[in-house]
Amino acid sequence: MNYLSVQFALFLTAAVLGYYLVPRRARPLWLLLASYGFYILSNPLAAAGIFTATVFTFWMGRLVESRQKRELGRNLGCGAMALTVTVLLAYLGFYKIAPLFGPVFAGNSSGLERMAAAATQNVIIPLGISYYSFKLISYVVDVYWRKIPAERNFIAFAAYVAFFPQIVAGPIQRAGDFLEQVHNLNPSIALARSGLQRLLLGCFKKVVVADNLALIVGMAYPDSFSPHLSTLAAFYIFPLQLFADFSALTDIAIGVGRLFGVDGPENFNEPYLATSISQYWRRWHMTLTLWLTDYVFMPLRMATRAAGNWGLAFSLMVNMLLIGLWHSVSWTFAVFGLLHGVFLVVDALSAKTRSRFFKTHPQWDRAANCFGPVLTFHLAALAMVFVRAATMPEAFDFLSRLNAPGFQASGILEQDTLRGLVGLAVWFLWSAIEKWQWTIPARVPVWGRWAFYYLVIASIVHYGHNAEGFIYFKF
Amino acid sequence: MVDTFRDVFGDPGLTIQDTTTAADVEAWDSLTHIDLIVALERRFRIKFTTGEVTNLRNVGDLVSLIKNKTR
Repeated sequence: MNYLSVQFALFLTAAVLGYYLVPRRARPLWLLLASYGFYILSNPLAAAGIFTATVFTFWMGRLVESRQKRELGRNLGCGAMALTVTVLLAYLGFYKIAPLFGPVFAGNSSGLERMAAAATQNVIIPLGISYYSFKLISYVVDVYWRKIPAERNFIAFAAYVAFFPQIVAGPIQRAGDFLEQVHNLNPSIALARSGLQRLLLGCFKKVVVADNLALIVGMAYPDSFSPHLSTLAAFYIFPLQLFADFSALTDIAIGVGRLFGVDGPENFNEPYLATSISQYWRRWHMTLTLWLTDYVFMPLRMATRAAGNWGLAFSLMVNMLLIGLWHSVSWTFAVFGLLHGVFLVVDALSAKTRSRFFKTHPQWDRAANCFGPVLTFHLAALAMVFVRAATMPEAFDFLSRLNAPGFQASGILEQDTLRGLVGLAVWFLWSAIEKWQWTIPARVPVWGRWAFYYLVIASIVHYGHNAEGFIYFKF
Repeated sequence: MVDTFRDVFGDPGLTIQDTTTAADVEAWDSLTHIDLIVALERRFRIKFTTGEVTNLRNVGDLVSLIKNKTR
């Protein structure tokens, strides 16, 4: 179910009304029913998968905790945790990798291989599997590490796993944070109002900014004859489109969650103002980066700490390769991950030298603060070519056109592009106003506030171009 | 212990308290956190596990953990 559809609007209205009408004690159950309702309406065949994974992890969490409490049972606790993680990774890996084998088997003539081709080509990736499997893995590891107790209430736990605002594209909220809120559900009007504002901002960013900018990017990518300047424009505009598109999804997820009294974690913090690539990853898709830092990078880094810088480089490369492959098991995303791995290794190994240099040369430090975001943006944009291109030849074709000289252009001054850029300016201004705490409700009179909201809604209706689904829906 | 912090984070004037967290020290991120752990392991001749390292909330937690291990 697309977030920007009449079907979702009706579903959300019914879910919110029901939530406030049922007794307070029944609200977690209502959240669970609404989440499974959303899931079944979107992807009915996969509901059994999420339910089975939830029941399995719930009981394994209890087992891990009970064994951890006994001195002699610790190894069993470790084994139960490792088994749960392995099963969940195999479940996720199967759906990520199986579709790749369809074409491999299809070329063979034996009956068995033809059957295998049919089976693997028809695999439909369950909705939100990349997100809920990560939630389940972090839950059982956190119980093992004694960061959180094993959850006793199955309804609250199942609502955490299937929470419909976050199931499609995150953010990946940790169990401790979510369950604490669900056990004390007490939605306030202020939280719900801020949720509606985020929802409106998300819709605006998606249809006015992202989808208008998508048009010029779409012209340059699969088209080998796209002129140099149009390709250059697409190189710079795609990172803005992706940021608008993905952060719009996060805005909608956080906004809808707040309507039910659940505050979700932020996913972005002005990533294109980052002064280094390591800072960029602390500001872009933050919940995924933090997840991988805690459950992949840290264990790997601890295991390789005796190997010094080699261990650091290895851990960073594996971590970033996994970030790439988490999106999709393909060469383009592997290159995306490895490129970022190389950037981060260079950044990490030169950090101490740079720090010493800037301490003794403060004038260069100021220059680096200005130059850093420019360099970081270009590195991120270069890696994003491999996110946008469907295949490796398409990515290399795009990069070669980027290098070819010429002043021909087409599509840059199209009305859609200009609308997208004006929308981008409005969004940045909106964010700046919030950041500087000139919060609209606090300082602006009621009529001014509503005039602004109506203006945003009118611009969504008139200038919106909802031609594409959300980019991160497919991950 | 303060000397180890100053050495790892390259700040001779750094002061720490039990309530100090990674957010209070500019250079303290997930990369330098392991450098700190390795330096403390060498300094006190102890070994940390991954679970212990990821569970630390502040310097106070780290001090308690080291005290437990060196007891």
